[in-house]
Amino acid sequence: MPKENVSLDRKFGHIVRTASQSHIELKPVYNSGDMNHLSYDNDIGDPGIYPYTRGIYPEMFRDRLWLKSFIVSYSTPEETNQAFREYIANGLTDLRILADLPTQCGIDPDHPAAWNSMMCGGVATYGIPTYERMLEGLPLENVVYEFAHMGISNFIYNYSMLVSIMENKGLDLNKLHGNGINDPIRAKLVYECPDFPTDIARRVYMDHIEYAVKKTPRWKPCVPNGVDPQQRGMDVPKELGGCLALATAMIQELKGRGITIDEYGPMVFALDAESDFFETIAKFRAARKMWAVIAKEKLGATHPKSMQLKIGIRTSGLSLQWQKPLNNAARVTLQILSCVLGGVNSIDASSIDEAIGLPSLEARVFNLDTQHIITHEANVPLVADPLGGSYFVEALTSRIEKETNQYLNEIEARGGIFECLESGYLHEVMEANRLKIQREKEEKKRLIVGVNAFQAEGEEGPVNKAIRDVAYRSPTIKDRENMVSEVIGFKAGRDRNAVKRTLKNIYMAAKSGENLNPPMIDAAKAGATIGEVVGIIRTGYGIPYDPFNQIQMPEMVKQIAGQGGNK
Amino acid sequence: MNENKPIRVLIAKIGCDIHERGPITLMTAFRDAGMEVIYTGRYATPERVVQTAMDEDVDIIALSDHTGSMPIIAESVMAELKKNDEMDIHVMAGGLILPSDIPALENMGVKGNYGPGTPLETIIKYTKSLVHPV
Amino acid sequence: MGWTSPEKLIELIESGNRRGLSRAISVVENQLEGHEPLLNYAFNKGGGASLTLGITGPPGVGKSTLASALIKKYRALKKTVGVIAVDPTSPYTGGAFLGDRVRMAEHGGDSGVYIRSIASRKSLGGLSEGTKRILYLYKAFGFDMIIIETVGVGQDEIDISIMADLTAVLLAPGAGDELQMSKAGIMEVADLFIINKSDRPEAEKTGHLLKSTLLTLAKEYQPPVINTIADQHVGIDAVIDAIQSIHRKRRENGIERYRQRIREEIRSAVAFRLNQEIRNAVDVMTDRVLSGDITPIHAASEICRKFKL
Repeated sequence: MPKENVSLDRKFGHIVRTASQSHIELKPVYNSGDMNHLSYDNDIGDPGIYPYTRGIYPEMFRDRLWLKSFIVSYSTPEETNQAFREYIANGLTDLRILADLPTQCGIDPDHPAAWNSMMCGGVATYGIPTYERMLEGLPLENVVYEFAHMGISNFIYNYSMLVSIMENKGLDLNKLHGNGINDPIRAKLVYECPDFPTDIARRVYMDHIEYAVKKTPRWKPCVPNGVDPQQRGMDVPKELGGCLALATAMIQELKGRGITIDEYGPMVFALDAESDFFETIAKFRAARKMWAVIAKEKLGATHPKSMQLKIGIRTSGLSLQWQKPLNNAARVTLQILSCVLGGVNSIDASSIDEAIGLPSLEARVFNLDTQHIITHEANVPLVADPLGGSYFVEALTSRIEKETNQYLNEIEARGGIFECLESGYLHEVMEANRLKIQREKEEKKRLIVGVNAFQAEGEEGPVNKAIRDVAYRSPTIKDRENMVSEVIGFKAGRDRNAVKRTLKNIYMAAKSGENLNPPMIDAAKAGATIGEVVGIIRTGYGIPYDPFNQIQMPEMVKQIAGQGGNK
Repeated sequence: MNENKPIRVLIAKIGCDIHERGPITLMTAFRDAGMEVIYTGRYATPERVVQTAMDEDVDIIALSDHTGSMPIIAESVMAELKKNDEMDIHVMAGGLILPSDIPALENMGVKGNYGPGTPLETIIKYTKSLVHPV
Repeated sequence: MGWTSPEKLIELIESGNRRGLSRAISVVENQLEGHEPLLNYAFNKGGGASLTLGITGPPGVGKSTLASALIKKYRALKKTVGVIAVDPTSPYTGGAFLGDRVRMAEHGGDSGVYIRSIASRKSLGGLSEGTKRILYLYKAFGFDMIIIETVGVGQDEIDISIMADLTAVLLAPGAGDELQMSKAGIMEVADLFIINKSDRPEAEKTGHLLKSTLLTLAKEYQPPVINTIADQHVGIDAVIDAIQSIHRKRRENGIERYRQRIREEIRSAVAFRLNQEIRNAVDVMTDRVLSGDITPIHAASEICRKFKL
């Protein structure tokens, strides 16, 4: 049979769009005219000098390299502990902890709603025994820990467990280093997290911040998160604007509790590193400048440190594709590079097999090695803000600042970030942009290699197959059954009186308005579980014990609520 | 089945999976294809999903999960459908579905089993063909 | 559940089987085979004990949240509740996102609450047809309380006000624009106003604005204005009290209202059929005009002749 004739398409692979991912229309060429409106000292400045557009340290990465972090959370505490050990040996310096999805929702593994997602997405850190096993033999002082959960309950509870373990071991709380996202906007906007309604979440998140600022000064108790809103549909100005608005509201509310921005110190944001290379870099530069200005002009910061924004990165999980996973190596590498060029403080890079399952060890080590190659072979971090002064990058930074400011004004006109959450405005904005992106992909005005373009069938070879095959699998039914029996056994074996007494103290604090964090640390020590702690706070607020409305409150809680009601 | 009756789909997320971009994208695509779409929201249970499917008299339940637990989730839904003698409601699945899980899902009678990045047209075409076989 | 005869569906409804009701709804909503016997059965059965409440208002004011809070209270009183949640159909594709199942989730496991989501399908002749037919079935099924929830835009709430025993219009503070917009429609049909999200600072102002607008309408009946915070279950008892008291007064001129409703039901059913027929005829004639066969004037006369107008 004669072979078909092949015709060559010279336009194949031509550019299909002229705007950035966030729909910022770009010109083919930028020149000095695009920087006319900017003043070097006021808008850009040297690294280490207000407004910190170019970075918060004078010599940036020569001073200190960015922290290399991962969310390391496998199904069991033992696996997670082992993984931490291996990653640390490969250069990990920042330990991010994530609970499994039921825990993040505020329920225990023995709750009926937990079964289908149990041990998925992380460790079922229902209580102190899992924490002790997960962190066994790992350093606790002067290591950076990060919590990336969704529900507000989890930040205060996981922090309480960490503090409990340190106190039990007689360690110095001044050396507890790290942060928790603890972002009540993200918890509702992106996840509709069932643990608490927004009013309770607002109280709990502020209680935790107030307590942590006083007792563990090196722990950042709130990290406004732009990553997840961006992944769910927000564009760059909305991602950044949301973080700035929450941070501003938080500092203002903290002032009402007698803590100033200078006492709070530097702000930390968790931002997304998306595939759009220059837009991502410009976003980091704009973010630092905008926070510096807000902190100084609006929030009365006097100390330079409290005008500084540290940026923690999670590279875009959404950008990673199931098709041809090898391509994810290119995506992640470019995203990491944009973070380094943008002068961020920590990088948690998504791994190339993340679209398939939880990351494998090998994929994670690849991430660390990529960062070592960028550092030691490509020599990228030797010079601070190497793109500073680029006509394009400076113009784009300024453009993002302008659009973000417009969004901030809109939020303010609508009564602030929490009002915008409650009224549904944030949802509308997010959904509108998500829909726009969906349409662009369908119409091929936004190409994803291997997904809606360049996806010729059957070209997946052994390398891609292997990546798919090593990805970590979800826990089996047997694993889940074991976890349920573990929890039931643990609950049966605890000192019931101690648990009841500490839960009662949480209940009383919820009712009286006293800070919830101290009694939660006691409860964590006594072996109260996440489900019980969430339930007792809810009960204290007069709403049903169970966020899922499926289980009855335990006898012990009934007794507490009964007594509390009669006091 | 009357051709004039719009196809009714219940998109369901069971358990504590928080990934919502997939089901929301599918909702929009189904609506744009002329279907009536109901979404359970996150954190649903198999019992509620099946009860809702019956109350709403839907043609299809489309399960979404990104935790890799689809076989476990689908099994609970199929059991609940069987218990209620509702085996002619079609069940489709999509999300993070491992190729190795597909045979088990197909054995249960779960259709589609679409992994991430499946073109929306493929899903829509198949969904229509389930309700109105050509 | 495969194809089921109307006789069987009636039997199921009589025995209180929800699945029977659910399938019967699809049959009458889509006018599938057997819909007429079902509707005749349902009309004859009636169900005088039901109270039908229409809840309408602009998007985002918290209709589903209020409905959910009301359901909770009625359930505590051991009353069964049926909800018809009407959502707009896309005029372009005919598809729809239905029912705020997320906000109603807390009643998901309750056998005393039945929620059905329907699309307004305006292109097929207005909200009233599908809802009206489903309402017959709900009454025959014997719910103590029926709630019809619609997005209040344009004609819908006027239709609802005829079908429902009383209509609550829901507003949110700062709803000045909606007030302006609604002068013609919502204001006339409301038996009861609810200002939800009343913990917002503008709530008081909205209340004043609403009351003064109502006065200018010089209606004989001045509907009460109630403040709620539905997601915190605040003000729900006051809403229920108002519903009961308005309903009691309504019974006094119940006959006239009933007559009006039946009249409207017949009228809309006929209009619906006529609309369909006329639309088909117009489509045919349009083709003929476009192909140069006849003029639009001829076409119109011919249609009128066909329908003996």
